[in-house]
Amino acid sequence: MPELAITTHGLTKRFKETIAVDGIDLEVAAGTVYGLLGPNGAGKTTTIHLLLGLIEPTSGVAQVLGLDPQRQGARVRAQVGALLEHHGLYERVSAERNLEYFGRINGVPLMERHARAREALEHIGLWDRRRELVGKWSKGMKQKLAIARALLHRPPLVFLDEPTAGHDPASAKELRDQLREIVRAQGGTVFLSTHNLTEAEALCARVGIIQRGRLLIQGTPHELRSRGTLPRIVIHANGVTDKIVAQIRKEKPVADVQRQNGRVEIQLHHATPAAPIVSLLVKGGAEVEEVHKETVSLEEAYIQLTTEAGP
Amino acid sequence: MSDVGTVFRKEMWESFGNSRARNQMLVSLLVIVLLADFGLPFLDRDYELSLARVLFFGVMFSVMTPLFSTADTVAGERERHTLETLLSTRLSDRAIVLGKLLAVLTLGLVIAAGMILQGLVAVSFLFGRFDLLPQYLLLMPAVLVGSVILSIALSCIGLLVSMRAQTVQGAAQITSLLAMPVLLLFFVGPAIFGFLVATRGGETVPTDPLSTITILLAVFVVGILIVDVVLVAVTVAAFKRHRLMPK
Repeated sequence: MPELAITTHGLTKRFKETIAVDGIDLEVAAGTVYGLLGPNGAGKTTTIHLLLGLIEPTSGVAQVLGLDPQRQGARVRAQVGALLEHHGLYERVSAERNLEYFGRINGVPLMERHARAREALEHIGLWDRRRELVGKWSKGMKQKLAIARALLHRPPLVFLDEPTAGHDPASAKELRDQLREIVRAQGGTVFLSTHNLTEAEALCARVGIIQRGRLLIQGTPHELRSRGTLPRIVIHANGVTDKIVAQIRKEKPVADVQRQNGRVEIQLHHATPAAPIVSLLVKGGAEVEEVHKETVSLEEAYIQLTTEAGP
Repeated sequence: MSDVGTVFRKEMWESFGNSRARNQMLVSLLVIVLLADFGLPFLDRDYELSLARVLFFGVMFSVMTPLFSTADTVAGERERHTLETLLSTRLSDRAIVLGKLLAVLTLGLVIAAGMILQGLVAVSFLFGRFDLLPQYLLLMPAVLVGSVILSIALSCIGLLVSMRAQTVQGAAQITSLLAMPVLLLFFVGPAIFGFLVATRGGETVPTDPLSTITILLAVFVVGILIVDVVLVAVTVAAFKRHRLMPK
């Protein structure tokens, strides 16, 4: 498998007057989870469609597992698993037969197919209901089955479009563990589109933020958090005078200090130990009750980045 | 071929794989069969003409069933949001089209074969005569082959409609309009057949291989076969992933 599972250069898709994907440059390392974050209509699904060779790009190129999705679409699709915007299960057919159908399509040998279907259904706790029509199932159950279907042929690359939509918190965590396991045990790559930032933060080695078809930024969740908002220290203390605040402001890593009712919020240029600042407060006669460093969540960084980029 | 078979199997599972769909189809067929079996002898009061009408109705069902079933093939997948997932598999466009086409044709063929077989036997019982039954049973495979030849062209048109329609209902409405002239042909057909029979002195099955009817029939079959080949090629060419994907 190539070192990079996915690369794109200037990938663009225009639908009449709308630019759905606008010159995206992506690099997804093999054996990692990559998260494409963005609001609804940002271009996440269209990007996945382009990478699967389901639609033709207006311009730009893409490589998926070393193949060109436009000219070698069938070969790309043979090597990937996909859970798209909708679960895509046949509701007038049983769960067992849904897995049988997709196993056959992906060339999984008969005995292996049955064994894997059983394993998958037992894993998601639905083996006893395998002969029921999928249409009778809840949304969460269908989503679990759809993920099992996407992974049945053990593809080296999996595309998941909003995979935890419809999951309860426990099953969403279960799915995240399952995805980690794919990466760990099989060395597989997961390309995940989501607007669930907690999920992206928990799972992804790298994330990209897309808005109105443009990739605003990509990097590790840590890098994005650093780019988004400055780190800060919040101190609850009594007796904080203007003099102390002025002294803190003079400290090198400090960008700004705000004081309000015994709460001192110190914005930093970069992450730094809190001890010297606390020491200044104590020396100045303040009574420190509580100190905590606030790390910026990916959500805050995301909101800031997308707000900066405009509506 | 294996991929065509895979798609075909899934289509069959969707049509017959659950008891509700199976029962609905069986009840509809039973009603039609009973009406035809008891209606035809009263309509004609003639054993041979009743047998001939059984063949006509059989052909009509084998042609109309696939035509109406095609409405669901692509538009149904689009409506139920399974099309996107189907297109994201390694299946070729050709395998998907041919698998679906094969499924609707098989459905029509099985229904027609069943209807003709039981219709011929039932009519013979009702008239209390069995002398012409073997002759008509021997004619049955040729009639079914002929009906499949007709069905291919119509099913391709139905598939083309289903590819463009956003909903099954939309596809079914257009298909119904297209089916009108075909249905008309089936109602005019027996009259023409009766006229031809009358001109042949009551002989329904042509025995002379070079008779006008046989030659006309052969030209008609070859013509339809050419149309079939062209329409299958057009349908396969029209089924393109990037055209079918939701925008």
